[in-house]
Amino acid sequence: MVFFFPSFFFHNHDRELSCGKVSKAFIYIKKIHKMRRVSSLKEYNSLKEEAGNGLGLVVHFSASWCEPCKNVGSMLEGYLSQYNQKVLFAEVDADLVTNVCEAENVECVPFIVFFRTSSRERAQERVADVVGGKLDHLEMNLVSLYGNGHDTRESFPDLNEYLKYLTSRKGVVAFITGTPSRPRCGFTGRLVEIFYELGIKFIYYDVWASDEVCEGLKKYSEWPTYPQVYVDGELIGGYDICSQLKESGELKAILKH
Amino acid sequence: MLRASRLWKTIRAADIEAKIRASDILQPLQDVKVVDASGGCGSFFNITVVSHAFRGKPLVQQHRLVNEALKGEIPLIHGFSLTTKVE
Repeated sequence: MVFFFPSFFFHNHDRELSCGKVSKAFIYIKKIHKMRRVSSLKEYNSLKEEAGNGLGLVVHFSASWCEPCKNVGSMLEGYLSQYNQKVLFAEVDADLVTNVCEAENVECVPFIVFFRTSSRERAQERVADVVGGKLDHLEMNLVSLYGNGHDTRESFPDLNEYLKYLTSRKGVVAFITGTPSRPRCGFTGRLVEIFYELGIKFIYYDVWASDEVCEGLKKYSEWPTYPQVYVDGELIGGYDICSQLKESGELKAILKH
Repeated sequence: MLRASRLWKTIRAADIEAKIRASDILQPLQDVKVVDASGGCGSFFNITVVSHAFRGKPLVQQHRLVNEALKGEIPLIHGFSLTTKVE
């Protein structure tokens, strides 16, 4: 049996747990993440503050009349349990809560915004957007930004094991500065354009998210710059090499696409 | 120290070219071109290296040889673009 309590109670309980106390009642309480329906700017800002405790946040701007929004909503609902305790999911009805749309500069639906807790400021940092109901881009960003729900750095005994895991994930893995929709350098933007142009599916890791990974991977790969593109744990190269391989017509084959 | 070093020394295209030409691992070198794409600020370079040392090597290994030759310079510049060719 599952008991339901107001969210402030969960918050208090989390605080108790952090002090090392375990309430008997805790064993009966299961923290269930639900899609948060945001109905005001104040509520939205509270949500971002809540996520600022090391969580990710995905906000889906939708409208009742919008058919693609239903597909996006269904897909996100499917991720709730996988990212339980790691990522908050919220939906904003763009017709009803216009001030939130203005605050985030969102002008169409569906529009999905991805946030991450900035390690530098302990605030929610907007790091990626998906404009429109592109479900493949939605999935790419979820996996790239938040992993599979269980593969955070803390789950690995040391950095090298973590880097080995990150670089060996299935398919094309690109270590970039920023994200495809919000690149922080020209090379990242140009690399992503090559992938999109050739229809190459990939996941990414934003090295801005972790100084440890950013500096560690350069040593691990003996490659001094970003982007770095991997297949099956093997470094293919950076933007220059991908560009050269594209010109010679070899890129898709080398990326096993 | 790195900061002082960076302030004191501006990397020039000629420095990078000389380093590549002097590198044993890149012999026999056929050609090298280094262009300062940052308008002389020494912060971004376009580099092309042609060497038989690249023969039979995948591009990533070719680039690694050049990275190795320039390992003293790479931390001092903002970025560079590299093209390698066998001939």
